[in-house]
Parts: sequence; structure tokens; C-alpha cells
Amino acid sequence: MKMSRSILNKLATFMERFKSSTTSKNNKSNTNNDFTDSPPSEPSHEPKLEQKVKALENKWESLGVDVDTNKARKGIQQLKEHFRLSIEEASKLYEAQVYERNDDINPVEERSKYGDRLISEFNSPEVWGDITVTVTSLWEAYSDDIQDIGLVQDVSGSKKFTLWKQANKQSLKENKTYHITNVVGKPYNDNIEIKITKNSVIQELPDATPINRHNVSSEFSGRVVRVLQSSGVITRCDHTECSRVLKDGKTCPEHDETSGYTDVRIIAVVDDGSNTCRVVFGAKDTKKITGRTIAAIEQEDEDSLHQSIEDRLVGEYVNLTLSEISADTTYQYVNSYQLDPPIDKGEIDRLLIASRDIKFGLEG
Amino acid sequence: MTDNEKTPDNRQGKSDAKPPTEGSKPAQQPVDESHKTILAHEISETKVTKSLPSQSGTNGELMYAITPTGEKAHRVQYVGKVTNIERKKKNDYEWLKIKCTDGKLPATITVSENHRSAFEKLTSISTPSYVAFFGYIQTWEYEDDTYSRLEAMSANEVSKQERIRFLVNAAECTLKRVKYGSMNMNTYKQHLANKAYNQIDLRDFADAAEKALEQADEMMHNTQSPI
Repeated sequence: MKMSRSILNKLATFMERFKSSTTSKNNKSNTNNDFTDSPPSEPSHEPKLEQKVKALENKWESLGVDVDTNKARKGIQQLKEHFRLSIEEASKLYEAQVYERNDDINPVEERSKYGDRLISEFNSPEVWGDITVTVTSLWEAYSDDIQDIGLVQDVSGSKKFTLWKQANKQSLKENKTYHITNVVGKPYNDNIEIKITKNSVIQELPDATPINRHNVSSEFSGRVVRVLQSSGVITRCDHTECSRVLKDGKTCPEHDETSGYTDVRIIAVVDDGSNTCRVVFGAKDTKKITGRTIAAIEQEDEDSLHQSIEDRLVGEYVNLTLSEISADTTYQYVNSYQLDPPIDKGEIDRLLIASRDIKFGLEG
Repeated sequence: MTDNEKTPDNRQGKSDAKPPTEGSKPAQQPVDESHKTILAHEISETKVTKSLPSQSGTNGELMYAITPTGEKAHRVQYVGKVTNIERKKKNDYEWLKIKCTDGKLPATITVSENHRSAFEKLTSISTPSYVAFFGYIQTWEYEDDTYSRLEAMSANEVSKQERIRFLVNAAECTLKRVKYGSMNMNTYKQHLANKAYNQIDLRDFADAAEKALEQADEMMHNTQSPI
């Protein structure tokens, strides 16, 4: 089965939704056991294949799409068997493939079903949704094909957005708030940016006040695998509302040569086995971790300070509450941390039961 | 860390994002490879590693191992109980050969003098002690058989509590891999493993995970001894 990259991306999104739906089902009946559940089976209330094909045929007819129903039936069946999906999921995926192949179809209704999302939810490619955002800054377009490029913000954070001329939409204005439907997360240089599509509807909210980002925090747990060399003593710009790190202790990227004040920090890479996160411990946490005052840290040799931080942190498991530093960096600021959190004895028992179940299943 | 990073007190102030100049691209953010949590049994049973050729034609650094359970691991983390450290030397090149015990199979870990910090740290520790290792899996062939070991790039002594936590985490990860493997859900990675290994007995790995959990349970109860 030959599929384009975007269809594969859709499949990944479907599989993600599928997994989360099966997990939530299992959570209700089972005490959060990810292992003892059986392979996903077809729920009895699911529509039969024929019913689904008929429904799709009616829908496509109303959209003016000419699709061979026999081909659709076969396609859904293939997807169902190949990816172990339910008929409902396989038909949705097949439908997405049809829309992918027919650029002239405008399945606005279909994509609006994802509903309202926060900016922070656009953290992987092909996430669709509607957003209510304030345009915080507009940049100079680097290509003639771009209509608007800049930053949009809501309570959860801010993200870069792009509106291409091809989408044929109205221009966005700085500091105005909009409700935009059918936007999608697109990867660009390892970051996800928001793309306003030709199926988007942009509605300005004239009476709305600009949305400010709240200090939304996230949680992350993992083992500290590395402490970066940039940890230790730094000099920050002392201009109001700046505090950027001075290059060579004297040059601010914003205010050029300036005076500064001394600060300390620890930058570490935390790894949970599948994702990594670069985190910044502020002065208060640095003092607590090193067990030294800022004055003592300043006097200490750079290498021995780095070594002592490594000895304390590397290999340690840590629970973190994090918040975003700014939109253009993947580093996250540590609001609170717990080194060496207690181990749940119940977790061991749960896994032991799961391992015996799996072994029993493999033997059977 | 980028130099225009701001303190937390100022995070909600003026946005740090600068408009890109014409034709410029946003600055690339660093990407760290995740370290897969893996039991000694899986390290020892891994027989397939791949390295990507670098531009000069020699083997590049980017190397990954395919475990029989269907994990594609560039980097791995392992916390073990070090029972023996041997110092080896050949042609002025020094390395440490470390034995770590585990529930089912022991793990062999090497630290070369190229990773100076880990090398020095491990030469000074006493055995037995708990150590967290971060590195990659290496394989080599000898007399028609393939052997594997963990080449540690960094290491640090940790507490008994960390060892227990590692056993629980690694067992959980192994069980997930075994479960997905048995259900053929992890299609791409499983395909890699099936292609790389003639015969895979997933029961062995479920067994190793169970032994690790039993060991963790025992260690939790035995609070008197630090080791």
C-alpha cells in the first residue's frame, strides 16, 4: 500500500488517538494497567462495514466527490486488518486519504470536529484544531509567498504562525485577537509552528482584550543524564525587563555593551527514556543543590564546581514542574523539583502481576 | 543556552522572539538523544548494531542497537550494582572492564580513557556500589559468536534507591516492548528486530523483567543494608 508522507502522519495521529482511547477505556475497568489488557477488539455497537460505506457514500455524494464504493470497502478493510483498527477508525483514516487525494474538497466540517485547542497542545505535527489567539508580533516575511508571519499567543503560551498567500485569507494585525478555525501544527526546524490553512476561517474579535499568557506549568520526570558546561556563574543585563545573559560578561544582545549583575544557574538534560528536556535551575535551586552560597559559588573554580554539580545530579531521578522560558527556546525553567522521589510499592506489585500475565499469554 | 535567555521573573515581559531578517531561518534548537532504559539481559542479548558511515568514509559516531525486543536504541541508560572493576591496558590504551550483576544475566560495561571523567570516577570507587551508566551498546564478533557490552560515556555513583527505581522503570519498559512485540503493534521496530534476529523468544525478556521486579521488591524490604 503506497501512502504519501502526510497520510502516514495522519495515520500516526490516528494511532495516537486510538491508543489513548483504548488506554482510557482500560483505565475505567482496570487500575491503570497498561499490560493486562487484551488486543483492541471491535466493540459490539460499532457500525458494520456496509453501514459505514453507505454513510460515506451519501456524504461524498453531497460533497460532489466521485469515489468507487467497492474500492472504499476494500480500502477500509485493508486498513482495518493491516493496522488493527476498528471499522470506525479505519473508515476515518480512509476518508482522510480521500481528502488528501482530492485537493478541491473542502471538508471543513470534518476538521472542525477537533474543536478548540490551546496553543500548547500543538506539540506534534498534524494536530488540527481551532484557536483563539492574540497576534503579539508580526515579522518581515522572508518569502514572497508568505502573507503574514509572526507570533500568536493564548493563555498556554505562544507559537510562531505562518499564513501563506495561497490560503487567500485576510491579513492579521498586531495586538488583535482572532478566532481561527482549522489550523494545523507543522514541523519546522525541529519546532512545531502553526499553519493557517485554506480551510481556516479567521474571525476578528473586536471587543476582546489581548490574551496574556499565564504561567502554565508542565510536569516532567526522568533521570539527569548531563549537566551543561554553561552551568555556574553568569552575568545578566541589568536593564529593566531584560536580564539576558551578557556575552563575555559585558555585551547584551539587546542593549550592546552594558553593566550587569552576577547570577548562578544549573542547566541539565533530563531524560525519561523516550523524551529529553533541557531544564534551567535558578539561583535558589542552584544554591540548594550545591549547598553553597552565591558568594562561595563565585569563588569556586569553574571545573570543580561543574564536577560537584555532576556528582550531585547525574544519574538521579527527579520530578520537575516546569514552565516555558520563551517561545524561541526549548529550554524550560524549573519551578519546583523533587530529587529522589519515593518509590511506590504498589507499582512493583502491579508490574509483577502484569509480567506474569504477559508470560502466561506468551506461553498460551 | 542561548544568550538571550531571561530570568523567570521576566519571563512574561517582552517576548524574546526576534523577527527574522529576510532570508534567515530561526535558530536551530539543540536536540538531545533519549537514553533508553534497558535491563542487563537485553544488553547482553543484543547482537545487532548499526553505524552510519561518516563523510570521511570511516564509521560515524551515530550508532544504534536493535534489541531482540524491538527497541532501536542510540543511547541507553543502565543503573547497576558494580561488583568488579578490572583495569586493562593494551598498546598504551587504557580501559575499564566492569561487571554488573542483574536479575538474570550480568552486564559487561567498558569505559575507555577517551571518556576521561567517567574513567576517573570509576577508578576511584569501591565495590560493591551502585552506578548509573549512560552510553551505547557495542557488539563484536569472536569465534562465530557475537558479544555485546555497554560502552559508557558518563557514569556516576548513585544510591540504592536509584537502583530500585531503575529496576522498576526498566522492567516496565521491557514489559511494554514484550507486550507490543507479542501483539505485533510496534510494527516498524518489530520489523527491524524480526529482520535482525532469526529467532526471538520474548518469554526470556518477560522473565528477566519479572526477576528485576522481584529483586526491586526484595531490596525495598531489605532497608537495613545500604548495598
